Amino acid sequence: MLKRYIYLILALFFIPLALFGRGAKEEPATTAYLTVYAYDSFVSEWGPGPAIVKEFEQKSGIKVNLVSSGTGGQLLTRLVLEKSKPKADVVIGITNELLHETYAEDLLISYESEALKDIPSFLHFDPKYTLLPFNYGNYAFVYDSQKVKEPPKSFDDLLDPKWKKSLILIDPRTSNVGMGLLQWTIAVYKEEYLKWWEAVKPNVLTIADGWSSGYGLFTQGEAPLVISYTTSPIYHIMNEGTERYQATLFDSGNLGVIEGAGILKSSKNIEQAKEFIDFLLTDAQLEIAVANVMYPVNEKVELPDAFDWAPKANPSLFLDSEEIAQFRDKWLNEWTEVVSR
Amino acid sequence: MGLICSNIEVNYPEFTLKLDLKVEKGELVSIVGPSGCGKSTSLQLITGLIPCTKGSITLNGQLINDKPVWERNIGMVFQDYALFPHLNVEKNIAYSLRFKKLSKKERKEKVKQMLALVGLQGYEKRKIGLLSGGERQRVALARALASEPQLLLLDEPLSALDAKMRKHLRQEIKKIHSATGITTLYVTHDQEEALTISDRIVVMEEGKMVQFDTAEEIYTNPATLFAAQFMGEGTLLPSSMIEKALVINENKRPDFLAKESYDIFFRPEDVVLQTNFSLPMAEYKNHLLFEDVKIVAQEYQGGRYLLRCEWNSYPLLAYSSSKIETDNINLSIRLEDIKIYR
Amino acid sequence: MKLRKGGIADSGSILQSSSFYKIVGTPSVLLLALLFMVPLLFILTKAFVGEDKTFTLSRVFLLAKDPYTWRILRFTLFQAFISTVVSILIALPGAYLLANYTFLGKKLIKAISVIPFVLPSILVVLGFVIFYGNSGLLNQLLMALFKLEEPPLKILYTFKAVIAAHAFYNFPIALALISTFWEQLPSRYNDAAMTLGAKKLTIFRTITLPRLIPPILSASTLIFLFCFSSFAILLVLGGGPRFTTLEVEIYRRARMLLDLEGAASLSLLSIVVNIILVGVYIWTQRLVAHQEEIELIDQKRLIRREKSVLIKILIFIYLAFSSLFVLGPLGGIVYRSFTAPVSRGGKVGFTLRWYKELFGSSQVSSSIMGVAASALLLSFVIAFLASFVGLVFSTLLSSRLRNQKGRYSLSLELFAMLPMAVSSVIIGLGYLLISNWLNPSHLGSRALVVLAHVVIISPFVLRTVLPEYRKISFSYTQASLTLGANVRQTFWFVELPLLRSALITAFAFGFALSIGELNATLTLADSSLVTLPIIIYRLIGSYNFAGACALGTILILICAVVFFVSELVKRGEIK
Repeated sequence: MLKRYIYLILALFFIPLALFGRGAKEEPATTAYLTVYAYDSFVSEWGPGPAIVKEFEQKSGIKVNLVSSGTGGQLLTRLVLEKSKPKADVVIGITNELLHETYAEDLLISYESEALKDIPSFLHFDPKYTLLPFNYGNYAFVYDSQKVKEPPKSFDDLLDPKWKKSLILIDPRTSNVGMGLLQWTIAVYKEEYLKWWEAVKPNVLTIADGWSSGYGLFTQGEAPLVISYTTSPIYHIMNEGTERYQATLFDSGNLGVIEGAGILKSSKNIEQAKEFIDFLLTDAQLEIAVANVMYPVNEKVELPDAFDWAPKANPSLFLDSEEIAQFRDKWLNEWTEVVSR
Repeated sequence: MGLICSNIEVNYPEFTLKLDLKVEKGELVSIVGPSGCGKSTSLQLITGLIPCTKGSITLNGQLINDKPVWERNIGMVFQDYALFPHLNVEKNIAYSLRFKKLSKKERKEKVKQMLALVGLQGYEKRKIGLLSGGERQRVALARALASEPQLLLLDEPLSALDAKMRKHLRQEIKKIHSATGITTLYVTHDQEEALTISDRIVVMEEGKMVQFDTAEEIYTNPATLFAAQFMGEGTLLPSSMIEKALVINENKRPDFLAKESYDIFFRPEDVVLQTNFSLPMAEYKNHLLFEDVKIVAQEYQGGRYLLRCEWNSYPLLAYSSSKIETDNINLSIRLEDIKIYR
Repeated sequence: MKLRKGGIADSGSILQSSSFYKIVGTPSVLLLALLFMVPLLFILTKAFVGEDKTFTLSRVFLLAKDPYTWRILRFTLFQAFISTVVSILIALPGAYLLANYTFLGKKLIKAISVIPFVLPSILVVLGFVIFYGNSGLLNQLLMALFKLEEPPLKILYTFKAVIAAHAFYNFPIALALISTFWEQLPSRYNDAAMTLGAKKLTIFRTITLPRLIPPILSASTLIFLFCFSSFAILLVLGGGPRFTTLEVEIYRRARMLLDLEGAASLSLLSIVVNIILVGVYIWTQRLVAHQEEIELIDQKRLIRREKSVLIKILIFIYLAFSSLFVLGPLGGIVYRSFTAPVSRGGKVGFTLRWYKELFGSSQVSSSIMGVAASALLLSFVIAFLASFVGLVFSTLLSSRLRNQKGRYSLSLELFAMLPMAVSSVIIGLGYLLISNWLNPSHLGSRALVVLAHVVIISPFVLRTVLPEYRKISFSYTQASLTLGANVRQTFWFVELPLLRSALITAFAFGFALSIGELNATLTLADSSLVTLPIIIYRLIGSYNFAGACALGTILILICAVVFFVSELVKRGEIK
């Protein structure tokens, strides 16, 4: 009896050895080696990461180790936790709203890349250039054109009783998109933003925990309106061949979100890191835009036709990052209070 | 030789267990006592399942205190048999043999031998779950004996069975004991069982060995009241009642009467009946006379009646060869047949 | 003196002093300590860091004084409690049927019912919505059947929906744990009671139910802890912030506010509460657990039981109900994986497209198989290893806990349950620290992932094995010792075989949990280590819900197969 088990155990150990060997990433030998922390969807097979890394490696001969680290805030958190033993050279994905916190941690160097000249000034959200913009988008309400014939054009429109239980919103305490929505209402209504949240309650189907669940409910047909991005329709055109889902622009403007990349002070490969950033801001731009379904920052990039389906936000609204840092907690508390009632 | 337990002492919250006995090789000694008096614990001490900190245990000349359970080669039959449900009969019995490095052939042979010994030939492949109570008991016995242990311990092996089966099986056990000649300790709370099969009996009360002797000795000369009552029925009276019934015919007054307070105890078979009230009691020795004893019940025991009586609200027991027709009766007991206990 | 059946195993018995048990229990403890306690403590100490980076208790005090904290704590406890009760109630009839009768579909129920547990919660939410949603399959069916205008069942986005989702997720555990235990209860006592004139219901109430308390408690604790830290289900299916739990607030601080200190203090509160609960549970288990005889399941015994008409109806109802309840959402996921828009207008039709995409394209992975295929294999292997190791550790730990009642065993048990009591956000941070500190090589990080899985699945595996282990009468152990086997041999030849059924269930559980594990894997893995749940997560994050459903379907299939196989093995000959 014992013998039988031994064979089983041996077999078990052979399988993984055989498998783990595959798909192994080689450790660097002599060539330079960059460690890049990026948010998870960037690193994923469906994100821009793998493709642009391959291209960069071929072009520059520098090996890149792409590491996934959750989302924006988590990236910063991780860098802070690793302060004593920093591993990253480059960080990709810290958004404009975290600028103030980023300054406070003082982990990045300032780098004014050549490529910046091709990037419109409204996207230069960091005057110190510790975070360089590489990707941006605008939040917008996306609607099901089969069910919605006259899309709303403002937050006030959304208060109309005809939208009863038709909105899928997202919780700002657990999601960046939700936080974006909250900030958008603050940008539009300033001090009075809570009144809107109070008034919109009957129209809300649910407040989801994140964009994934929210959008998932939306495509399931649970409600005809969801908070997402202006560029969301592009995905459906490109991958599903359908024009069914459209985004609507608000007259008062849509909140923008700019993603930034930076170089760590602790990096031992500053020169290579700079090369990577330059690459990010130029050759990689098209891939990033298409894979992320967001806008490139570089004006010179020619976008595929599908991008015509996304309405261009005008204006793009932004809140001051210092203000955000100061009041974020207060806003969340107030919001929770009002919406939980 | 045999089993010697010296000065064993274990403290428990309820009592202190004290063991001091010598069992001859080949003897079958029963340990009797009420539930919870420490009988099973004693067995566990001897096997080593409970460590022994005070005293020593010697088996066939070898000190075994310090040996772990599995090296003591003591066979034990548990109260619930503990037959391994995942093994069949054969594998259960052969269990101990595996650790003795016997070959497969030898194991098979031994199992066959054991099954023959307990009268379950051909049971090798049977499943434990399908066996009857009596069969299980015998398999447990076979299992314990398979490795030819030097000592066999049985912990209330028959208590889970019905009366008829019990009677039958205890004879079987006795037969097996004679056939193998193995030193055996047998724990039971049934005194009748102990009486019928043992060479000697240990009476245990609250962890102490009250008496260690042959059945006959214990019955006729119980060391304590407890032993007396445990080994058979009888009448118990306090000394204060003696005066009422005392009849002194001889010159000598027994000494015990001078004592302060004590209990007296006597067996029903020593009690003399007087049914014919017209005649005086025909007793010339010192005795106690109980007059006008009320008969509460008469139990037929096959050949005689056990009379349960009442005298001054005390229960009295006596035997009668035939049924008593009257409601009352006179009883007497010789003082020399009375046991005195403090 | 209390008559303890089979013998004594408290202080003073040979088992107490055996070093075997002490030694074997140690590796698991060490593993837990290293992989879990250390990083946890590190993160938790942040709860005591003040504004000026010095040690202070003020944060914790402020938290304790805040009424909002208590409000959400109360709610968290409340919803977890209700969910647990409902889960157990749903499971009991099923456990009864499974334990006492053979019928068609029995294996199927058991196999399928544990699947929800293995799916990432986002998929569960999706599945629920696909099936029960206002535009969901159920409503569509009803509307078509009865020619209705409006969807008749608007059950989502309410508190009830949350409880239902929790029950959907959790009642299968209760079902598995309770029915396994129940199967092996000897029927003697029931029969005896019947001859004494007790009615069936009375028998159940007074004899069977008390003896079922250990597995009921076991399952309840697991379910409670799970529901305590649930939050996606609560927010989405509940409808919003009204149903905030402690976990949401921890999440908020850790992820959105970058307030690790705040997250740590809340987490501390949550851990303390959970420890108390688990402690109470363990203590009650001790009181209640007594050794049962293990009766081998005799197939004949089951078949001999006549199925009265009532029972047949009950079986049918229960089958129908649980199918709807469990298969519904799962079916929704499967359904979605086969649909895609077929026209520019967006009408949906049947397609195998998502599957093809997953397994056809090679993308940029250096593996020659499709991305999903290699992830599948990897997940499978990790799950196998993790469950095996987890099972070994938990069994050894259980043997220690059962046989030695020292001062430490209570804390040991608590210790082993800890991973369940801590928020996944905090666990994630902890793993981050570990991986940074250890700085593992490529192979090392894979080993780390397996070990992290072991830590995560251990509470479940332990909770499955331990009660069963405790059930084994000590007289078996003692008999084996007197027959010449030492402690180690007794463990191998007697105790393990008697645990067979539980070990298999535990393995299947652990496997399912590992294969669906997302959080720790995401944090610890370097980018070349991609498991199935990670791919699902990434698909969902990039608009591809149908693709995620396709992978989810595959996950479901794997688990169904694993459980099916385990049931077959359990029924087989015991060698």
